[in-house]
Amino acid sequence: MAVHVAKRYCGGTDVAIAIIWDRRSDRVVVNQLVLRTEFSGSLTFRELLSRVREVTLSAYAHQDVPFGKLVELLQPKRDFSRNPLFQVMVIFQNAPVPRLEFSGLKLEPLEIDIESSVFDLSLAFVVEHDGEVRASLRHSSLFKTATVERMMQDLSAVLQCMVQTPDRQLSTVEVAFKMEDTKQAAEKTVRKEARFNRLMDLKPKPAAISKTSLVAHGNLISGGPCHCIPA
Amino acid sequence: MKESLEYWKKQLQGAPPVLDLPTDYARGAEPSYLGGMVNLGLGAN
Repeated sequence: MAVHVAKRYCGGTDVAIAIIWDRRSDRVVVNQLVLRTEFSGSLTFRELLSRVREVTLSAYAHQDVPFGKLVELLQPKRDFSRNPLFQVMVIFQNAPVPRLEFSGLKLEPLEIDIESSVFDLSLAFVVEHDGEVRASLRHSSLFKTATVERMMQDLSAVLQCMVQTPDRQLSTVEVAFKMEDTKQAAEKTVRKEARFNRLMDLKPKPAAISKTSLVAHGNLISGGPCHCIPA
Repeated sequence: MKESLEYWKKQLQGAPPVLDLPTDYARGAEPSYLGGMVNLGLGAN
């Protein structure tokens, strides 16, 4: 349901996310598969799930194309600020990491707190040994922790809603969220205005920016290599 | 491979170029690759 939550935040009806897939038929290589799903609010959860399943299965069937090759083929518009073709990654790890045991030694896995993020958001579902499912959302520094916590709460709400009422139309779920959205949009406008005012106070004197430096920077942006993560 | 390339071309051509998530901070010219993580327990499988 990450697709639905992503759609709710962006408001579009055509959403592309990617998954990590590590079972290429010829050898073990981790690849990134882009899943593009088009849908409207008239669909039910069950119908959306079926559509995502269809998209996922056909992506599995064509998994032999490395992501880098796909970028080369499609040549998306160059934009250094984002990953090409997708900005949100979803990982489902349902094969528990085997316990390592040595005689006389007790080993326990430790979480490493890595404060980095390759994509805007990476949502991982991990099935633990006891069957518990843990979701973690890695986020880039574009988002505040509070925003990401809210996203996770929304995701949890959508998942619960989906399990309890699988035949509910997506548009009716959006209505339930709308009031909160409007409130948040208003708060965002206030924050934007405050940020703008701060920037106005900080702006350099006109003489500090020369025409030459702006042109050079523009060339740098348009003429560099395509930014992509090798598959 | 050729068939797969055709599939991806058809599947992704005309897709919106970006998933424009509303962010708290303005996007820079390049990603910072800095970030964090939030966890959530979802109960039994």
